[in-house]
Amino acid sequence: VLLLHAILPIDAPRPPATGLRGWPLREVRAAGLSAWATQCVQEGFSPGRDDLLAHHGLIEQALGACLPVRFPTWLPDEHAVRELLDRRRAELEAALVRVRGRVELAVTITWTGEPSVPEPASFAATPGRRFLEERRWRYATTDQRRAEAQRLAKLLEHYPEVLKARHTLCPSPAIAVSSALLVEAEHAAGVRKRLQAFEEGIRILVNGPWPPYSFVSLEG
Amino acid sequence: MFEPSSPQTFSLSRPDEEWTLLELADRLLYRGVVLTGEATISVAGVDLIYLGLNVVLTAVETLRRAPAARDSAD
Repeated sequence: VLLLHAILPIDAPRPPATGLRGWPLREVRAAGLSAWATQCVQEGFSPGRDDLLAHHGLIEQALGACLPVRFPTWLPDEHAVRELLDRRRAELEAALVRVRGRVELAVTITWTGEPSVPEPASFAATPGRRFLEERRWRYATTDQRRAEAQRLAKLLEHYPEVLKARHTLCPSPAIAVSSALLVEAEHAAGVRKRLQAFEEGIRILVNGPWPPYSFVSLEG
Repeated sequence: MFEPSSPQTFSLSRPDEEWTLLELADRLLYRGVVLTGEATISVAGVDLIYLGLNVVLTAVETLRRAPAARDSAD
């Protein structure tokens, strides 16, 4: 059984000798493409957290030159990999062109204070009115935070080096925005440094450069 | 005989490390090139791709609960 890691152009760097858990790493070539896959030698192999991170580590070795494959993706043997590369060559080649030389920065912006819509000093005594007043206050708070998150997301897109962006607004009460930014590899360090001074009143965490996980959809 | 291993548990010392791992796990598990369909095989009638994913997700859920528990204790 093969566990796929990445798809690359055939002229990409050669893979390391070993994949997950020290097992052999296979490079399967077909249709002008190359696929890196671990030959899983243990029957009943079930991946865990360390395998997840090792998969990431392998893909990072081809940073800027590969399509990372969603984890975990298995194929039964090398013949199946070659067949896959052959059948989906056009889609895979187009996706490789879209991300060539590009990397992803992961940006998380968290709130540092409470919402600025103040909680009323007291709510009505009757249950029905109290319910409506509380709900109105909660909605006002949510709307305000969402609008502010939207503004922050737009600011991220104003960086000229940001080629594409994907945002998730307010995914949890503590987080304003979770974003993936696609940038040229040579711009990653500069953008990352400038983001540290992004805006007052929020906290920003920048990870990467990572392989462009969020931008390799085969649909374009 | 195919037997899934127990989900791993783990802890990280700094909140930033936790966020980094969550962001990374989100990308590895939910993004990336999707080749499912062609890539699904089974052992003893059990679909490997889903079984494996469940194990990893369980591990990630364990991690997700850690910061929440810490926040509620503050």
